[in-house]
Amino acid sequence: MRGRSYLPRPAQRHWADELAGIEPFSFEDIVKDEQAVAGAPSAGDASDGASLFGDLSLTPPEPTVGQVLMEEAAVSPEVLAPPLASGASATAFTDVPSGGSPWGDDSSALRDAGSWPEVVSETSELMDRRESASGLFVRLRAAKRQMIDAGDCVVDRSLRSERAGVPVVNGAGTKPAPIIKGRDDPSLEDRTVQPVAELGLDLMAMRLRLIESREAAQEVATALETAIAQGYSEPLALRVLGEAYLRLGKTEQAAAQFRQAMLGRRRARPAEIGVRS
Amino acid sequence: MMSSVDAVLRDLLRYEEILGAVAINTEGLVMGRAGIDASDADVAGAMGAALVGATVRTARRLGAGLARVLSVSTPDGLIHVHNAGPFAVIVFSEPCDIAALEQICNDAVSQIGSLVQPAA
Repeated sequence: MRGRSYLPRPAQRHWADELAGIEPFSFEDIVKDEQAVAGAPSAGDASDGASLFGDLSLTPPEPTVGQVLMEEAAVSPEVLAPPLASGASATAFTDVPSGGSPWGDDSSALRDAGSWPEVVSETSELMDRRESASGLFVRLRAAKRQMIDAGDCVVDRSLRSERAGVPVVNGAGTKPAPIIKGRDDPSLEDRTVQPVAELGLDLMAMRLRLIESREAAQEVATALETAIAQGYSEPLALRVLGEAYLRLGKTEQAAAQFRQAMLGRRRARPAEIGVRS
Repeated sequence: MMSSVDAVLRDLLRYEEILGAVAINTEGLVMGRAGIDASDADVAGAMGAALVGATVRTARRLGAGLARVLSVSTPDGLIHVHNAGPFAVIVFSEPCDIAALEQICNDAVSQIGSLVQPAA
């Protein structure tokens, strides 16, 4: 395996020259930090803290032109800085007033009124707001139920083979019943699917009437057009309507109905094969 | 004759099992929706575009060809993502036969494709 060289390239050597006297990392710093966190400051910690924070002024700078003055009382030193070791904090915050906040005592009300977003650096509010709300599919089912109740959506098809093409109508036959149910919806059994005979559509009798008399074509076509307009889309009905159109000389409309019937059968066929297997 | 993407998607709601549908472009922007509110559609668009991108890249990296369909099954339902190249259709449905749902989505995708890229 070929070794890799970490020597700086010629173009980077001037950076190496400037940083030559700086040690980027020292294990002694880790020991000092651990002692400070554990609450056992060494003798040198206080002096370190004083040297570190001694030149910092806790008085806010004068705002420059165009700079918005932040509400000082809304920020407490506990928020701004992590807790320090006792020796270091005593040395560093010698100018802090006795109330504990260098900017006054009325900070609690303003702090409670803060409206910062809960998630700052992970994802947006758009992604997180619905985390504790109802699930997506619950909302979708409710929305579709509302659409059906309002008449904006007609449900007359099903992906299941045994229900493919069977219309869903209510007692009046004018508006589909709300059939979208949750799994725990007790009204799941209330689905009102009327058989073909109750709709007054005896398709085989209609075909016989078309064969026996040409005058029945208009009547059959009207009946089937009405049923299909209400959402009835069984392939056989479309085929009978096509035959009626043929009798009436409407060849283009007949061809369209035959094509729709063929597509409907093709759609239902894979699911039927799945049921048999 | 469908006149808009919304109308094509609304036609999908005629199926009992289909609860909502969203059409999105490759940038995750919503092209049309049906049965789903705007905020949910926005989230579905953003997440769906990322999902399609990851699926396409995964299939391509594996040498499995172009990813067309992605179905995510959950205890609550089914999320069916149909990749159509410049756009994708996301269908939310009850648990159902995925093959039948894919066939339905194929029809909708072809109709939307004719709307988005009309023949010259």
